[in-house]
Amino acid sequence: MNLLRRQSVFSTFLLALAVAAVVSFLPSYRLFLVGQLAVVIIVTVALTVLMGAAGLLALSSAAFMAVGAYGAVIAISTLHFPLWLAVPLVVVIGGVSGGILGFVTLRMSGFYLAIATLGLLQVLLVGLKHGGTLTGGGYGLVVPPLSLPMLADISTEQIACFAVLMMVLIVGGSVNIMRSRIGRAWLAVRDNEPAAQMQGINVSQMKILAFVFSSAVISLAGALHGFLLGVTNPNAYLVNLSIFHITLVVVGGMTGSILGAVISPIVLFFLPEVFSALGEWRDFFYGGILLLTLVFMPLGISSKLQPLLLRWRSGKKASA
Amino acid sequence: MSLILQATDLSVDFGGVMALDHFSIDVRAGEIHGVIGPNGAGKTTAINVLTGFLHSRTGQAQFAGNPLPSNPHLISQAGIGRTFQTPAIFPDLSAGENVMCAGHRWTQSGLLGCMFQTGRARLEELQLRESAEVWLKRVGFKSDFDIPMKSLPFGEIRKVEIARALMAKPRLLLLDEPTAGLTSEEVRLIATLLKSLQQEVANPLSVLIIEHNVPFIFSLCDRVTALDNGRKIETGSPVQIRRNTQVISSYLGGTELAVGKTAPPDADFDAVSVLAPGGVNSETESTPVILDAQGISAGYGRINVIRDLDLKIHAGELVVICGRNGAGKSTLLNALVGRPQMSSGEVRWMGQRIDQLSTSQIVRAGIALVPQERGVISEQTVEANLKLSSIGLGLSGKEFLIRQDEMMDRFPKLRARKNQLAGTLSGGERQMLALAKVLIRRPGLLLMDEPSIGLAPTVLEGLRQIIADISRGGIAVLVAEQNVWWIAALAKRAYLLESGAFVAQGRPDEIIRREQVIESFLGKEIELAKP
Repeated sequence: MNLLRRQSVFSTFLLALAVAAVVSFLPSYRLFLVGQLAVVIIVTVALTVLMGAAGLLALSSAAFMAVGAYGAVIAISTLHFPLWLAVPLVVVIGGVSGGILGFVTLRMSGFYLAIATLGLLQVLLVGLKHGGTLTGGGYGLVVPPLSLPMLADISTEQIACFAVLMMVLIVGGSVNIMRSRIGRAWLAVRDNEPAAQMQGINVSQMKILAFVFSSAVISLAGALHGFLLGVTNPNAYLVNLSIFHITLVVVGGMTGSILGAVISPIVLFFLPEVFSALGEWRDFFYGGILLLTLVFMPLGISSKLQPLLLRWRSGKKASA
Repeated sequence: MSLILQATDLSVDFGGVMALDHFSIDVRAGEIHGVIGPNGAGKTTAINVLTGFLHSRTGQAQFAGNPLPSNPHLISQAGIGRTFQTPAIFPDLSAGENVMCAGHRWTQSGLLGCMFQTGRARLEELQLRESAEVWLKRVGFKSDFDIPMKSLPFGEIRKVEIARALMAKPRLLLLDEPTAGLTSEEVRLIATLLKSLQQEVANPLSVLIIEHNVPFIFSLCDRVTALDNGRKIETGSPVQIRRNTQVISSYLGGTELAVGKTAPPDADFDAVSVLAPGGVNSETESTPVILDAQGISAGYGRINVIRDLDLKIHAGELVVICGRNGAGKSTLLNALVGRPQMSSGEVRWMGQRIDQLSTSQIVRAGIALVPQERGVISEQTVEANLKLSSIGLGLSGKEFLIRQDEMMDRFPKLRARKNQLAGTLSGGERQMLALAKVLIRRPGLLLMDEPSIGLAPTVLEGLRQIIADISRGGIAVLVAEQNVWWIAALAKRAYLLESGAFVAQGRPDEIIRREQVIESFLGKEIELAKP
C-alpha cells in the first residue's frame, strides 16, 4: 500500500485522461483487448478491497457483473433511460444490493460466506434464464446503440477508452481509500476483530461498507463489459468467472495491495490474450504463469514487488 | 470522589467453571486501580465483561453514570480503552498506522470523502499522523513511524499497543499485563506516563490495571483489588492488600502451591537464596556434550539477528540464556529447531549435523521447543492437543494412553481438564499443556522461550519445580528468559546474550552479578521481589 501514494482527484483525473488518450491510438483490435483488460482490472481492484483488505471471501463477483450488464441494457432499452443516467443508476443498484448481501451474511465468514454468495449467483442466473422478454432468456439481450447528449453512435473504441479512463480513476480512488481511515479499519477488522472494536470501529458497518463499495464498482465494470461485447448472455456470468476473479486477487496478493490488483490481470489475462495465436497452448501459458507465480510468490505479486520498488524509490531519493 | 466505573455482582461461567463469581469492582475518577490474582482467577474475564466481549449472567455495570453499552465498539466510543494480554496489533499496518487507528472514533470522513480526498479527509489524516507521532514518542517507542509491525521486537509492539490505547483519549483505560516483556527501564517510563496522565487537570485518566509485576502494582496504584477463583478477596490500599493473609497465601506465595507440589524450604522470593550457586545436576561437566553449536548466525531476511554464537549443552544439563528484549533469545531458540534456518555455522546433535535439517526432522531427532506464545491449539481439547503432538511417533493406542497418563501425573491440573478446550485454560495451565505436548515426545533437549511470561508468582514457583523435575529426569533444558532470577538457582551455567552475541558466560550467579546485567534488565525488581 505504501507504494502507490495518495493523490489528489485532479492529478488522478489528468493521468486518467492522458492514459485514455494514449490508448485511443491503438489499432482497433488491441484497443478492444485493452478495454477488456481495464474491466478486469476494475473488478480485481474491487475484489482486492473486499477479499484482501476486508477479508471477506465472496463468489458473487460474476453476479454483480451481471447486475451491471443486464441492468444497464434493461434501463436503456426497456425503461428508455438515457445512457448518462442508466450507468450511475446501475452503480447505485449494485451498491445497494451489495449492501443487502453484506447485511444478510454479516455472521458468516470464510467458506460459509463463499458458499452463501455462490448461492446468490446461482439464484440470479436462474432468474436471468427464465426472465422472459425482460432478460431475453438463454439468449440474453443485445445492447442497443448508445448515445450521449453531445455524442451520437458511440463506438466500441470509444467505450474501451472510457473503460480505461474509469479504470485509472478507480485505481486512484481505491489507493486513496486504502491509505485512509476506512482502509485501515478494514485491515484492522480483518486481522484482529476484538482490537478493531476497541478502537471504536463498528465491525458490521465496515463489512457492509466493503460489500457496498466492491459491488458498486463491479456493477460498473459489468455495464462496461456488456457495452464492449454488445450482448449480455447468462452463460458469460457463470461461477467460472467468479473463480477467475478470485484467482486474480490471490495472485495479486491478499494484503489489500492495489498494485498487485493492477499487475495480476496484466500477467494472467492480457498476456495470454496477446499470445492467443498459440491456440490451445494459450491455456497452457495461463496455467503455467499461474503455477509459477504461486510457487515463487506464494503471498502474491505485490509481496515481491513492493519491497523492490520501495528500495528503488528510496535509492532515487538518496541520489537526488 | 466520584466513581467512573461501578460494576456489581458479575458472574460468568465457562461450561460449569465459574470464571467470575458475583464479582464487584469500582474505579474512582482519576485513580489507578490495580487487579492482582493468580492465573485463572478471572482477571482477564473481568476485563472482557467490562469491554463487552463477554456478558455477565447477573449484576450490572455503570460507566460515568450511564449503563455500560453492550457492544465493544460502543463501549470504546463511550470512552473505555484497553490493551490485550497478548498485544493485539494489526500486522499488515505499519507501527504508525496501528496507532492512527485509535483516531477512528473521532474522525468522520466517509467512503467517498476518503476516495476523493476532500479537504476534511486530508486534514483528518494529517491530524491523526501528528497525534500518532506524539503518542509513540511519549511511550518511548524507538523505531521508525513507518516500520512494518513484523520487524518489531515484543517490547516495541507492546509500546505501540499502549500508544494506540492512549491516543484514543479514553476516560478509563483497562490494561491487561502491560509490562510483560518490557525492561525495567521501559516499565518505569510507562509508570511515569500513567502517573502524569492521571494528574492531568482538565481530563484526568482513570486506569484499571492487571499485573503480575507486584512491585509495579504496589508502587503505582492508589487502590488494589485482589481476586481468586472469580471472587473478590479485598479492595484496599496497597498497604492493606500486602497485609491480607488470604492474598498472601493465594497469590504472593505461601505454603500452598498452585501446581500441587510442596515447596522446598527455600521456595520464597528471597533474592539471595535464589541467586545462590547450586544446580540440579552438578556433575554435568562429566556428561557428554549432546548439542554443539559453532559460530551460528541466523535472522530474518538479510539481517542476522544472532551472529557467530558458540553454544554447548551437556546431557541432562540446565542452561539459562538471559538477555533483554530484542537481544535475539527467541531467534536463537527458533534457529536451533530450524526456523529460521541458519545462515552460517554448524550444529551437531548427538554427533550428527542438524543445521541444514528441516524443523520436523530436528524435532524427530529429539529437540523440542516450547515457544513464547506456548503453541497450544485453542479450539481443541487438552487431550486432542496431546494426541496431535504425538503424531509421527508411531505410538500404538495403548502406548499413547500410557504416555498421556505419565503427563497427567506430572501435571495433575490437566487431568481434570482433559476434555476442556485449550483456549479456556488459564495462563498457568496453558504453560503446563505446552510442556506436556513436547514432553510426551520424550525429547533429549527441551528449549523453553520465556516460560515465565504472564505467570503469577505462585505458578512460577510450581513451574520451577517442574523444570527441576524434568532436568533431574535426565532431559537437558535450555531456558531463554528475561527474568532469570526465578530459574537461575537451578541452572549450572548461564549465557548472557546482548544484541545477538554472547557477552558473558559462566555460573548463573556470576553472570547475574555482572553490573551490566543488573542494570540492563533486573533493575530494582530483585530487591522488591520480596513482598
